[in-house]
Amino acid sequence: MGIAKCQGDFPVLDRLIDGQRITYLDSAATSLKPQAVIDAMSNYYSQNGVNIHRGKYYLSEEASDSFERVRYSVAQYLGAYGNEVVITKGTTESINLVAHGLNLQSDDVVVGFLDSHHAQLLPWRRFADLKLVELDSDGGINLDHYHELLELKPKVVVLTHCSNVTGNIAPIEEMAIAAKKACDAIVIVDAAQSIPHPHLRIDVSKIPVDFLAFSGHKMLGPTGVGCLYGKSERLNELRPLMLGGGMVDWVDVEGSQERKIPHRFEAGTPPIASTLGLGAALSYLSQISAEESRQHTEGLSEAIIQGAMERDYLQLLGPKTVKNRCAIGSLKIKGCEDLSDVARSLSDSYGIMCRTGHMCAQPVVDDQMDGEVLRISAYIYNTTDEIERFYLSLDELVTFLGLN
Amino acid sequence: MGGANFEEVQDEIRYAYDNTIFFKKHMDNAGLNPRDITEIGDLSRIPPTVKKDYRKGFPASVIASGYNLKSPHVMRFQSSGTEGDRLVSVVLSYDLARRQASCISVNSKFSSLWRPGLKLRTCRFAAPNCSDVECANPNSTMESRLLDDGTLVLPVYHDLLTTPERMVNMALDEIEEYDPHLLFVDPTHFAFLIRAMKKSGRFPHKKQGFCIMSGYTLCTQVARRQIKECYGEDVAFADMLGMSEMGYLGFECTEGKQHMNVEDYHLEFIKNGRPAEPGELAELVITTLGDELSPHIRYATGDMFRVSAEKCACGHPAPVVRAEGRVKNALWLRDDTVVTPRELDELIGPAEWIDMYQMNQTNDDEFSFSYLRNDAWTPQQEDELIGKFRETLKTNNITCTPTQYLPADRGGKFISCISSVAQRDEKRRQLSWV
Repeated sequence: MGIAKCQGDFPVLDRLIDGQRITYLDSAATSLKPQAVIDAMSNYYSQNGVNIHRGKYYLSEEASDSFERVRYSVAQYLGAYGNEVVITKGTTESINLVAHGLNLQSDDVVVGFLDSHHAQLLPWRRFADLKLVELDSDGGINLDHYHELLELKPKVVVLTHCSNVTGNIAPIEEMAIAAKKACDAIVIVDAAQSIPHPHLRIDVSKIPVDFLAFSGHKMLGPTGVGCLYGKSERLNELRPLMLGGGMVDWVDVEGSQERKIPHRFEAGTPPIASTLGLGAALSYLSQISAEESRQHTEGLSEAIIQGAMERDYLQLLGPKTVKNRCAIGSLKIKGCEDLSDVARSLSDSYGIMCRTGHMCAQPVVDDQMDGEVLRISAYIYNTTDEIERFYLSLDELVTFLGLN
Repeated sequence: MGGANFEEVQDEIRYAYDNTIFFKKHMDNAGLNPRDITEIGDLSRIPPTVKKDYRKGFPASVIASGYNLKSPHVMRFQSSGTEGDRLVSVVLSYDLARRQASCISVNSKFSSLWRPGLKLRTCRFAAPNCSDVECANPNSTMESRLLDDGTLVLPVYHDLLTTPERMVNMALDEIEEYDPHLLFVDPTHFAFLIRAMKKSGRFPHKKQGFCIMSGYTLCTQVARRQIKECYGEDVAFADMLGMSEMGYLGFECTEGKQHMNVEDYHLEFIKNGRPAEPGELAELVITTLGDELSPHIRYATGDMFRVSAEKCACGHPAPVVRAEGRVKNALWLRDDTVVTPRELDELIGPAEWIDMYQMNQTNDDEFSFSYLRNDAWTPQQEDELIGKFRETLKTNNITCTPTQYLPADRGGKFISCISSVAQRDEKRRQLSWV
């Protein structure tokens, strides 16, 4: 399998809407699902469908084995140990779990970033004193400001590997080392946007990262499942967010004994089918080499940047370089405050699916663009021809909508 | 491997037919009666029995009439089975002891275990699912893990490499305190314990006066090297061949050869439905002898062997074999030939730079080798090994990755060679009835 031939693996791309094929450019919100992922989930429901870790009967053990194998695969993918991977609902739950479980005090400083997702901002603001690193004049991370904030001796530093708005890749290795050197801060990485790309794979055995969070649905997997990686000594210190069945070894009328990590963080029935789908997604992605992934991403990024730069009526948020970015472009149409009509027409007239709004990152979008943006985000099943078609369609639209 | 004990085989068939529901049905379905088995060649008329027959039949159809799980001397074993193919089985304690004695008699270095009057103390360090005690629970106590037969099951996590330092130290402390005559270990597990011991600055509790026996999974040469390096030549070490269904099947002699137990079993090595020639890759098919509790007739094990025609230098007459590994773990090449887990291990050898490894055939002509490396690693050694892999597996499509983590299966066993291709029915049937 290679990226060039992968479109056929995504059944939704065969769908016609009003006789038109789909051009999907919203993968930063969620990716499409290959047949292998759909089959893994469907197979669970048609051939098994029972709960895990609950019974001694054959089907339960079979489901438990399959579920745990996914945990091990994720661990191997990250360079972690199997007991350092907690299955969650997704990045948001993972980050909330850590923010809630660290016993932060309101005057503890947490350093975050202006271009982060709301899921990476709001939990910390609730529990601690969140300070945000500003962007530089190009829309990239202001590393000087980051180092200034490290002088405040933050307890926690929350890094976003790839911004869901600018597509910018942060130098997280350098930043994590600096955080450890400055004050031995707990380092947390939001890898939701980077982990879908094999060339951006993070090896936690080589970078001083304490926690790392990601979702399955952005990396070809199903919705409703994600992971939290935590170093075993950190997970052992973390207070569980949820209590209930499956996370205790023993309960009597006076107390309970929590299970060992990672199970103490997985109260209740987990998303079994989705986890198996995540395993299939990981297997699918493992067939793509890092180099192929890098070249494809750079090709798409170049098309996004070039298309925006060639048009006077567009403003592109963030750095304009192909290196160290994902194929995400957040665009402002000058003079257009409400992009709803644009997005609707791109969809209905051209079959192009993309997103408008603040991208769950309102501080940076308001700061840089003074209002909502139109975002295109491309992935393995997209081509540069599709990016070009998007811009040509936009040219036509802005004229007819009277925006140009 | 039989003929000499054919009357015992006939007795076993008759007994199983008369006393177990499963085997009577099995024979009836094949249109056979014990009276039809009059000479050794007739055995092949009986369709082999397989693990799922015993899983499905346990306990009502496979335990002989007159016995139940509470009968005196009945011991119960459960196997998680590699890759979830689980089984609960029973054996009479004196049958187990007899099979053990028959096997171990091939190695004089283990004779100290049979001193008259000795109350044997054994420590077991292996996958937690190999016994019913909760040895994976970090809060378990030594008392709660002590079995009736004097075996202390040492604590370990299901996923071996995630076992925390506290449990490693607990296991090492308990070995010192219990001072076993015999350490019965999974070799990969025990090599892990040795590495953890060294890392924490600890030393072996002693280097003579006890024995180490490995079992449960294939004894890789890198695990053997680490055990031998740590405990030296004065501690007897040998590899045992066994199955949770019936216990000891064979044992390593002082010459390092595996001898099979033909006192307590009738053994067949089958290739393409016929008895294998010496040196041919064959599946072991076992018939128990004198098993009144749960007789197994022509039990296809799914284990591959090569039988040697040569007499062993140790002088013991028991037949010599080479255990090649499980059928479901064989590596299948493009030309439809097979490389067994043992053959793969021969390629790797005792490699001083590798602590633990796993070869994974992920698809046709796709192999992934992951390993834990140590300070003795050099890029040249790795390149040489990759070269050997390419030559033997007849492909360049092999990734080789050092790692710090290799997961065990959920039951706790760590299998050093796994293959998704070997699980396919069309492949499996070429090697096995299982």
